[in-house]
Amino acid sequence: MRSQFSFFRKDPDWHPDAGDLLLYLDGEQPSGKAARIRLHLEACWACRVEAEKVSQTISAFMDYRNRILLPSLPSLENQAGRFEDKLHALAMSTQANRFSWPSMLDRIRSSTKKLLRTPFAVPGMAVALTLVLAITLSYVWSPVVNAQQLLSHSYAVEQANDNNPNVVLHRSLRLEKRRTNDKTVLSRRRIDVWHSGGRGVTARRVYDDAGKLVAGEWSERNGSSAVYERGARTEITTRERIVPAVLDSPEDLWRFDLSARGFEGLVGTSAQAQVDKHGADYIIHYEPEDRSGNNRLLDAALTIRKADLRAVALEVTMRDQGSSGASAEPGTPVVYSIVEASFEQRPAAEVSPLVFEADAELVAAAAPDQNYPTADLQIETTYLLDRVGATLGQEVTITVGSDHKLHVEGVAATELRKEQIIGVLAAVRDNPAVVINIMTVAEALRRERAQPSVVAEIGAQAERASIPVFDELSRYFEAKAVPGSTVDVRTKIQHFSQQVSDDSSQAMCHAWILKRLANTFSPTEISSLSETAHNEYLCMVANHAQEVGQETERLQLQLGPIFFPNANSPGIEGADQSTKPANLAAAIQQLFAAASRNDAAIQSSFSLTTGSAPEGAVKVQEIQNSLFQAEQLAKWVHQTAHLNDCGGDPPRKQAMQ
Amino acid sequence: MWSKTGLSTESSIAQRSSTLLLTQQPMDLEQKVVRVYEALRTPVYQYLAVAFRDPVEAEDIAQETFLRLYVYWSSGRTIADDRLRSWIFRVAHNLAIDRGRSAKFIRELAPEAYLSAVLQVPDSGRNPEETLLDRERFDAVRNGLALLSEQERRCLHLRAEGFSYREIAGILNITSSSVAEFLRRAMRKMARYQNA
Repeated sequence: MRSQFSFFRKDPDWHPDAGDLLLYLDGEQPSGKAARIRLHLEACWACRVEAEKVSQTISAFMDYRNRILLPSLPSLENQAGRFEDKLHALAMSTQANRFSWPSMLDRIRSSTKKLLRTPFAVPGMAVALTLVLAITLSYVWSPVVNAQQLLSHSYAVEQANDNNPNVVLHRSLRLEKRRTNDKTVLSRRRIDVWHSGGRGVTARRVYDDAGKLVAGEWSERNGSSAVYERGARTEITTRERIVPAVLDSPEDLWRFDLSARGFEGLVGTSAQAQVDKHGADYIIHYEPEDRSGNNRLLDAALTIRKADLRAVALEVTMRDQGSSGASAEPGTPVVYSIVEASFEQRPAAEVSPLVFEADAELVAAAAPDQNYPTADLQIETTYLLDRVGATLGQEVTITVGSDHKLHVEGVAATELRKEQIIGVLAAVRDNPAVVINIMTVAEALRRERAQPSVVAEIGAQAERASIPVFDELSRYFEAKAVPGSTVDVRTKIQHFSQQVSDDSSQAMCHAWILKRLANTFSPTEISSLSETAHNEYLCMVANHAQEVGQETERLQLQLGPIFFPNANSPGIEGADQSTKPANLAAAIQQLFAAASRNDAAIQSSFSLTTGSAPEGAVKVQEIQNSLFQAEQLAKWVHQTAHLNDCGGDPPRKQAMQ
Repeated sequence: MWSKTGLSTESSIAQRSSTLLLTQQPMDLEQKVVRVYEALRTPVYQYLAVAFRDPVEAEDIAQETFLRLYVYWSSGRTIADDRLRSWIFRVAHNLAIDRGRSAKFIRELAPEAYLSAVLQVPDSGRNPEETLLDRERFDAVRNGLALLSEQERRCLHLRAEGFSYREIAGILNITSSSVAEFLRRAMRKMARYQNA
């Protein structure tokens, strides 16, 4: 320092360079040199200008950073909740590992090292020994891990992993079926599972020994799933049914989730499960109390890794039914094991979306199954019936029976109508997966002779009944009546009520069909339809939505002058924001809800009743907004689903009459 | 100058650390980590995002960093309050390096993103001429930043976060004199456009 000052004194032409100035401005110069630069700057204009230039560069950078760079970043999402989930899962995991051997040895090692560094090594050693004993005892006396708690903690880890939108989970599993007596492997499969937390979808593929893709399942967050299997039926099901499916047919175990949640679902209750510590793993053993022949599950064991509390293996012993080719003797126990071979978390952006698409080879291999009604076949049949209005009301029902065939059953009013319905089904009539059973009323009566005489009873009641909104209608029609007219007001009310009730029923029928269409076919199924079937589906939706809209509009015109004459149209602004649909399926659900509300209010207000129902008028007044919402939703659905080449006939009312 | 961030001096860092109230309130470890996370997640995310130009990854790494803090604390080890912030940044930085994102360092703000950000800057009552001058200054900084090496850029952003040379050296695992040299070079490159 002295030499520097002496240098400064000796060399009055010395100037700090840019580096010195930056260090000085940043307060990073040693105090001596900082003082020297300060003195220099007071004296030297040139260096002061240089220092100001450095300051200006810093200032410009900070301005750019704060006004351009940082605001250009995507806003940090409010991830605090998700972070807390992860943290909690980690905390649980850490807690569970507290007494593991490696951590205990670490503690002993670090404690011993610290003590040996002290000058009192011998007493230190004594203390260390005491510590070793204490830690060992704490390990021995550590609380027994409870199966329920362990499964619960593991479940929390699974949830955190499954719901992370930024990563895609990829798991590879080995599935084996073995005899219990000689451990002979009867079959072996590889399962590849991809899960996207962001999209909420899981793709599961199973390969045989030769690496050939033999089956796959594509499931969504709502639990719906599509299962494709070579040479077998295409099954649309839900993940909730996986446990009964596995118990019924252990060959379906490839669809099982290797997870704490899956294990709990399988064993029903974990209260009687026992936990064993085995090296780096916990093993949860379960044996059902009922080991009689009625219960196929003999025992189950789930392995959970201590390090991250993830389920990594499952072994299930079940009674074999001898149904599959490679089977043991019927009734003898066989072991199924699923073992995790690999697990990785990949950034979502780096994973191709194709891994979540159903493999074309699998879909194609599964589709030709002639004896099972594919989604395409169901759509086509519904579409054909829809063209003659046979899907309305209860005239014809379409169901997939326990025999896995599509049953088209119904009662037609006349022979002509029966022929019309059967005729329109010509395209699917010869399909072995379709069973048609349409009969006339006369035929149905012959089969079931005793029929209750409901009509006569209703007729008798009508004589002494009235409708809840009779007074309002009466006032309205009397005010409108032309003096001297011979038309009876009561007759007008009857006709009007009948008309309103019919229109509401019609709207309800079409809304009900829309809902049935939306519920019958899952989004996965719809996306896998052929182009023709998809177009037919959309046309049906568009046509029925149009009908709902028209009927609802007619109802508004009929009811408006009587029940809400002075009310303004609610308009778009008046509509409930919640009615703005997110997608077609959501819109259909909302439309059905609105139509149901309207129909319930109208039927209770305009139907004949023998009791007093003064609330009828109130109900019908309440549905003004609901009618408007239904009309708007119907228009939206119609516009969204409508195709230019829909053409064809919309569902006709006369066809169902 | 640097103080525009409000985090420039040792005292302000110490003040911020003390606002975490880590030692003043009894709380369990999870609560403690959540408290630190809430206080520091934004600067950590911003540093990772501007230094690595991968905001999605930055957010993920930021969360991972605080989970590491939990593991560290739960093992019984401690961090002095005034060193907590640089500890967090060091772990975040190392995690980012481990994930092999360094190749993306060089990329500056994309032209369209830059233009969009410039157009969205509030004018704060500035006249057109002042606005034009602002944009020229922004262009100059952007051009200057494009010339920086990875280490120069990291030093610059960490300095802007208010870290001292010694702290930056700790975070980047280099010496303080190297930090001074990287910053000197960075300022020289930036100054080329500033004073043009």
